[in-house]
Amino acid sequence: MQLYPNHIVETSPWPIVTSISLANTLLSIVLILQGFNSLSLKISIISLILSMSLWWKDVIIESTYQGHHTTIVMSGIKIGFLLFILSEIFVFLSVFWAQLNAALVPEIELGGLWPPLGIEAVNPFGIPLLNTLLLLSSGATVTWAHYSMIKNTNKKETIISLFLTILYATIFTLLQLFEYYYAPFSFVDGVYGCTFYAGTGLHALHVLVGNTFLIVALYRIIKNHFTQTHHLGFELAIIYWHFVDIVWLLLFIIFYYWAS
Amino acid sequence: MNFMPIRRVAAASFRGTSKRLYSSALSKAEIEATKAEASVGSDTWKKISIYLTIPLCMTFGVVLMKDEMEHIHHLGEHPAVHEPFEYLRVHRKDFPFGDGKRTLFFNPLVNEVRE
Repeated sequence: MQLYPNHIVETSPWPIVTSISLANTLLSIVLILQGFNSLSLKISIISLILSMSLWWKDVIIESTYQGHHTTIVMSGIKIGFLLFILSEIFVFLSVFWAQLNAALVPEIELGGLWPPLGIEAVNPFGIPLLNTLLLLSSGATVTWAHYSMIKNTNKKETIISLFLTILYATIFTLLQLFEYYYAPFSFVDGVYGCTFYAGTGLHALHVLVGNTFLIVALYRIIKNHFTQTHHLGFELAIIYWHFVDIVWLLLFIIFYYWAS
Repeated sequence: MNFMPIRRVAAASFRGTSKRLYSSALSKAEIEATKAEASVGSDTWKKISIYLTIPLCMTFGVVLMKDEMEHIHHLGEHPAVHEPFEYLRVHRKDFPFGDGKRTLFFNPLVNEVRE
């Protein structure tokens, strides 16, 4: 029996492999900016996704089969995740800053207007409004899933409600693609296109990650990895999803409604 | 070297301080209380999910997508006018994808290639 509540981790290749993949990704982006092709970026993104997946596979094994996730370890992971969310808030803060810096006092070259002369904005009460409803709905269904997991009487109910959440998230992603395809401007259309796609694109990436997180949680629920009192992976997926949801509300107000 | 006393002291101290150091060690009463609370919450959010979100998304989905399709149809008849402002379609280097001339979500209906 282990007499201390901490988890002494074993040696693992994933921290160094993930670091090298991240550095490769960064260097590849710099190479592309210098006119090289994107082959190196494709390879490093594949190796990044692969090393992250294998690392998290190890974490799942540590929590389930090896039982290393005691309450103290869980609290450490939770604090780490909340700090990660904090850093995400500041990433989004910088994009919102760029948008507001360009939009509040538009440059004279843009006609002193926002959206600038020659750019037709996306109608905020079309697909963006529908996307707002979809994300708010997914927030409700994921709460249902969490309560039914704690209630611990009907696994089917948890699976159905989480599946509904993932369905809403997937429809959101598809609608966002549709909107990008029919948007009358692109990311090369001056500062407007730049900040618009930086903001909504960064959010769309977070939706993809959050949706993957929820899909992993669904798989783990089906495989009985979680119990009523021990479902940290699911809880963190929910926290992340609510974060993505709140960011969308701000995006909708500042990038779509205000800028149209 | 005898480790037994130390082990016993450690084990006793864990039992004394908190059972919850190990995750599944909630008391029976605590589990029942949590279940009762979650059962109410689950019912409320189930009703909201089924009777509010699904009809709302379906109605707005049909209405707004109909508008959107009309807009796209309209685009086919009256193609977008591309103003020749120099801050639009800024393209100094080829993109690292496709033929290098078209943006990532290029749609000939609404976008234009500037050489």
